[in-house]
Amino acid sequence: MKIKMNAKKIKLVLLILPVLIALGSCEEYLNVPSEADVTEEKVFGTYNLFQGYVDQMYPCILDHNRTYYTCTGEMGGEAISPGGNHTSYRALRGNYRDFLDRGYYQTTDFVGIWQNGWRVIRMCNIGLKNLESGSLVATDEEKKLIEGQLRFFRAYFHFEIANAWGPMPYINEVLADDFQKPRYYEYKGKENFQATMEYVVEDFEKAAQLLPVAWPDPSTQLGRLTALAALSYKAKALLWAGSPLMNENSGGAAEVNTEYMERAAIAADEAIKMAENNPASYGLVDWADYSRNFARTDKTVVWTKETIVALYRNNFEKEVFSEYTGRSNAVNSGVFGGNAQQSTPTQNYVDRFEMADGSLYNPAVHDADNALRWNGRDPRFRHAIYVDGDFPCTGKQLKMWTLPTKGATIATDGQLTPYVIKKFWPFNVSDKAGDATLTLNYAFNSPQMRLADVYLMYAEATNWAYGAGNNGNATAPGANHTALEAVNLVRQRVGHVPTTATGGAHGNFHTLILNERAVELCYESNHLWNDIRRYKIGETLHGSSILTLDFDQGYTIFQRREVLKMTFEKRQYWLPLPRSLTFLYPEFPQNDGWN
Amino acid sequence: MLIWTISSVQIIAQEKQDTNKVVLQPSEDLKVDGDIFLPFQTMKKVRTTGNIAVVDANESLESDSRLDFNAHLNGKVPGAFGNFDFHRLGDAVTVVDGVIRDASYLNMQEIEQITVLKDAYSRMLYGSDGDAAVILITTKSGAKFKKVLKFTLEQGLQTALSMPKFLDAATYMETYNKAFKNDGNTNSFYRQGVIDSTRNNYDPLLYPNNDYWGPEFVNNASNFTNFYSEASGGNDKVQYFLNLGWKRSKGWLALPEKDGSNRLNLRGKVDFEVNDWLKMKTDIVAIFDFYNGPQSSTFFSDASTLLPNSFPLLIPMDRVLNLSSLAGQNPVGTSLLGGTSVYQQNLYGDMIRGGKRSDINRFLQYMVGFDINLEKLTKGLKLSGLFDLDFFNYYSQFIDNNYAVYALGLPDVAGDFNLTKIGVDKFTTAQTVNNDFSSFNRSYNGYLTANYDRIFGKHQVSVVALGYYKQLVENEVVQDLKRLRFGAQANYTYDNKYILEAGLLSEGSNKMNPDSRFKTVPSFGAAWILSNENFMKNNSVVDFIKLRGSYGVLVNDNWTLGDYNGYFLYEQNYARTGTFTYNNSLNANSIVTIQSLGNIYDFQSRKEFVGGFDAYLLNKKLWIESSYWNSLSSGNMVALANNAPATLGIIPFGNFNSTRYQGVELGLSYNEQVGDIKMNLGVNYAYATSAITKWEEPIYPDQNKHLSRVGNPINAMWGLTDDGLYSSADFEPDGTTLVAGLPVPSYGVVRPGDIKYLDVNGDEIINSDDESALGVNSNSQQISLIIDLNYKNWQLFILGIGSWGGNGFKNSDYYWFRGNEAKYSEVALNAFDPENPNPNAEYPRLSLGNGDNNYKNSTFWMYDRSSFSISAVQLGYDFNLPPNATLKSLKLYARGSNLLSAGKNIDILQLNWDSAPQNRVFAFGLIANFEY
Repeated sequence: MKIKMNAKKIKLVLLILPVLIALGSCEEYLNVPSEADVTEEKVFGTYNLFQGYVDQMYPCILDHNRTYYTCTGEMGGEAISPGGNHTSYRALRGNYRDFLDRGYYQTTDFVGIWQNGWRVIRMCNIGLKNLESGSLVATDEEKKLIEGQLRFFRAYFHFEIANAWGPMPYINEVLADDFQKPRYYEYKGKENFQATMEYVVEDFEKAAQLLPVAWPDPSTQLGRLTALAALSYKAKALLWAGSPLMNENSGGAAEVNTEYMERAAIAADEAIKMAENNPASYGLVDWADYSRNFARTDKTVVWTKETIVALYRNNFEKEVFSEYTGRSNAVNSGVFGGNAQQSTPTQNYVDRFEMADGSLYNPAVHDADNALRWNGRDPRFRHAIYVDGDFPCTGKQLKMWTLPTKGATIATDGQLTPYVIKKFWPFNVSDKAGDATLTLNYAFNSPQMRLADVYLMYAEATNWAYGAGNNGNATAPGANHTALEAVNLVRQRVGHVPTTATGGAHGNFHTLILNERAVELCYESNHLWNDIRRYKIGETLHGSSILTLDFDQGYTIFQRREVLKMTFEKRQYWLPLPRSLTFLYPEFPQNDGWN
Repeated sequence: MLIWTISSVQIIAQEKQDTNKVVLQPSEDLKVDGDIFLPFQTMKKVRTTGNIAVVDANESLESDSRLDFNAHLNGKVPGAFGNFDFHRLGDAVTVVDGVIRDASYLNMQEIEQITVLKDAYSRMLYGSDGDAAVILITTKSGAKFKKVLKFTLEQGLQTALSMPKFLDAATYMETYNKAFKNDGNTNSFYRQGVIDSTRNNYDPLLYPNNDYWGPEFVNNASNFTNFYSEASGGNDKVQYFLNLGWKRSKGWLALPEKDGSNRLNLRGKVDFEVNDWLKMKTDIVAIFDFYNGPQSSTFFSDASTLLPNSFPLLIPMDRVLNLSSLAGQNPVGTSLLGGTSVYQQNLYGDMIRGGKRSDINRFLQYMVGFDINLEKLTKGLKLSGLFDLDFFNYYSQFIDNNYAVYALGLPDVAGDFNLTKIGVDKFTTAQTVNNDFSSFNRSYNGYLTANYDRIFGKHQVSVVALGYYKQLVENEVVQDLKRLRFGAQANYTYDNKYILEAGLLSEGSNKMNPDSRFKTVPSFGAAWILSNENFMKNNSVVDFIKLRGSYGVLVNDNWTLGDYNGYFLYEQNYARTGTFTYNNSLNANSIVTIQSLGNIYDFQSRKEFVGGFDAYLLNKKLWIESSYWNSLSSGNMVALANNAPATLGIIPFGNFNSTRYQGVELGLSYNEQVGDIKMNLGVNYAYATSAITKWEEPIYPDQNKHLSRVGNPINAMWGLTDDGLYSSADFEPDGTTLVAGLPVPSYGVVRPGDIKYLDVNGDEIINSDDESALGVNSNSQQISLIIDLNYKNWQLFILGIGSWGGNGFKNSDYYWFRGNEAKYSEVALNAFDPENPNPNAEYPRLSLGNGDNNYKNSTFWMYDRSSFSISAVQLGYDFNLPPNATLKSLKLYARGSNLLSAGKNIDILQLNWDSAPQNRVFAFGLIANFEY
């Protein structure tokens, strides 16, 4: 067989080739018409468009009492419920895996930290990328505002996710293919949780430089992120990084890291100074207005000069009660509405509220003392909690005795303790009783960060950094206040007695601070859970009794009773990750004990 | 493209003088020697390496006059499961005259040949469209110097195979009372007196008993007419082919003025030779399909929903006391339409007073093509091209009427009563067109091919190169489907013994990332004709045997994920979803959500091997063909909910799921002639199975491993396993608390007579985690028997099809009675009776609740789909005609379809309970063929 190409064959090839080349140029026929998709110019082109994009992240700010029906921040033993859907029910039993589909990790859109957090982080990264390279036409000032908000949101969600699940990769790019980021890594000489916090702090610092101390027009810009928000969260991130659980996670001992405490104290002081230098915008509200931090019935946004970060809401409707407060807090659904099962305060938590003179509550003495059991206490007790005989609505009295038979309130829905959370449930708000107008104008809010919290964080960090853990007279360099002064600002504002540099009746200044946090910040978020984890107190509570108080209508007998033994195993210091994700690649392992 | 060019160069280089042309046996037998239509070329079947079945339309029609082309595939082609599915890979795509398009409008008589491509090599040139099998249809053309005139007229009758059996009003009420009692009520809902009066037909006005499936509403037979005519002919320059078809069929509804459809098929095809190297062809098709019927198109589902005892349909006016005070009556005969304020829908009224509906379907096809013969340039070279436009237009016209109904008051002593009029009579003649019922789609197809076909001594080479473009434009669809592909296939046959085939396809899709819109994949085939080897030459048993095998990689973009029907997945995209208000309501903006990240993905792919053999034995009396297939469909696109890191912040899409399909098919055909009797007996058999090899699913903890889809068939049925019904022994004396140790169902309170489930994962709770794969939902084996007898002028054809291996769930509303408005079918009579508890009752305890525990897919509701049916029987007679007559043939025939069926659950399989019944067909026909 001869291999030869004559002219004729070449001609053939020449004839066919153009045909095929003509076909080859048809690739453009596969093009997509541009009208079919929303272009980035239309999303990021102007300040208003871009700000609209950023504004969609604001509804993702957490409200631990409103992530989902019957979901609350009650994960540390501050409340107990007979019903399996309540956060407190699962938390006290150690059923943290259930939080994967309710509460913390929510599968429904627009709620839940895990899904929403990563989603917003992605949105932030897309925003930041477009800010850098995109087509935004805006002034430098406007660009700073946008960048500041994006950096804050990115840091905020990384912080919240790491707080619950431990070290996480810091996503600061629009992930596409190279997404197998390790959970455990080093950054700025720090490892694991602290490495994550270094990234978080970096973004918060940058955000603090970019954001205004207060937005110029409070009437339209209330609720927006500020430099104070960024500084406060920076302090929180550093305080967390310096706490024993997190220090241990980062390769240190299970003890306080004073380096981080120093940084936290200075950051908190910076925040306090910023607030105190801007009294027109910030300050602790008076006792008379204290409750306006949490709930109100005048159809105004729940936001005060004390609020630093919270989920801004301006919708007022009956459903706020019937779907959230009613399902979580309001007892006796037949009378007050809401749910047939409620989460109510435990006796253990009630005990943490001091007596009016600053002494500790003594069950052996006070339980039977009608004058001092529920009266003569820290004013915040009756502000936060209803007791037997109180009237949540006109003419509707709480009847919560259990001896010899149950009172009408407690008999109905299986309520486990004779207390009711009042902090978010103002008088006469109910979809069955109360005042219809008040209920229509009702709103509540669980602040994520408020000035009182910043004072307490300052005191906590300063006490460790400069007071060896038990000296309220310690002060951060150049700070406005000593640790003790900061605590007393919070105590005296509510009309409570000041404490001492050694923690008064608590005998230790750090113990006092943790108690102060439990009392001041009660039910607002998952503060208690965070605190018992940070200082590794959780394990010591394992098997401890969750108590209720039995008494008769005539107040002649008072008996404590164990309702449940609390479960808190070592693995509960971190939440379990969604199972499938931990099998994706070896650098993203499950938290210990949850495999 | 480059590859193709090289291969053409090589072929050219190999060219030799074609002196000793290899000629295979000079026979028209399409199984071996006949030319068959393959994608963009024709070739003798013997030279193929793939798994290909060929149906010659004239031959198939000779004994079986059914009009639907797929009736000539199911049972007649090995590997067929039903009408469209081959190898259980899913619905095959149809290609008509080279163009990918729907073929449901075609009449079998218009068709010349059908080729079914059942292996990857054979169908590779159809890319994404040919992921499952390809049914390649070639329509008839006119022949040179042969004028043909052909008429077919067929008249037929359809009878219902099965009608749903709902309980009559009295039994319905009794059954309702049982359910009412079962729910804990002590009294009865319907008083016994009412039930008795209804049963005794005391007064149908006061005690109605409406049978919506009865002869008053539904005819037990309907009829149809098929007419087909064809004229073709031509000279050496021009050939034409024209046909006209008309198909009329009447619906089942007894009451409305009109219920039926008419379809008109028109085709004109002209092939003409412009000169000695250029041929042109045009093909124009127009189809009009009209349906005329009542305004309401939901009769059958209404008939299965409306209760038998709710109100009398017709109220005789002579029993109405207040007739004079009822303004503006429009009586139906001497009656008024009944109803109540709650139930204003009167099905009788719907049928005769509700108005009219006409559906108009129009299809228009315009195709023009050319063939350029380049023999002068290079022997064996040809260029062809084709451009095709298809238009589909559908709309519905309505005449919407309202009618009044009359509610009965309490009867007086004489049994007469006052009526209350509800609603108004509003009749119109105005026609409206509802946009929800209209569409206008267009599709464009075009291709260019180069064919090269030469014989050089013992070497024979056939090459085809192709460029194909397809676009589908649909109303209100943002993105057109666009596909562009380039491919080439080459066949090399040596000495009529060894065959090698190879092909490459480059598939392009606008669903892919613009950076890489094309993907190129190869396919190969090889065959060995053993019977042409010397050692087999004189074998007395084997006349012909070919071993064949082919392997191919196919890619496709057949996904519709995401918010844009599968498009734009490669880019970060946003969607505007309403308005977002910010700045304390001072500003508003479109809500922009991130719909997808820039996903990274590839085409979905299929790797398929098919191997087998074809053989003629016993002096070509026995034909055997058999194949094994192994087809791995992999990288199928899904949302990676469980397989992407959460850190992405969005659930990406990607290639993940894979399923392996395997099976065998066997075809036998035996010809024998004994005296005047010629017979052809055939058997086709196929077995198909599948197993998922990779699935996007959670990683299940040990106790729930059984939930994993991996290892199970793709058509697995998932459900709970029943353990009979609860008996009273399963409960504490209170009757509702399960005794300790029994798993607790999570579907609410159970009582004796409810379905008891097995706790598959042993967690003492019955929930969806206890589901497991219970079987497959379609039959895995099919066998068909063909008997074709000729005796003198008589022909008898019988086709029987049996299939088995699959199951179904009785989970429709015919079996599941949810809530207190369910219409009970006869199966309710078998329900568990608490007063006479039978733990083996065929039906669980009735309840007026939602049946959350009982109405779950489970083994309790499973039935076996095995069946055997005589799908077609035909008796034909050919008249003897004088040999020189213009009338070349005249045939009379009688045929029947679905005459006989058997199967354990044939009653379930044959029942359509909320649509028109399945039917049995009897028809007579006449075919006249003129040639002159």
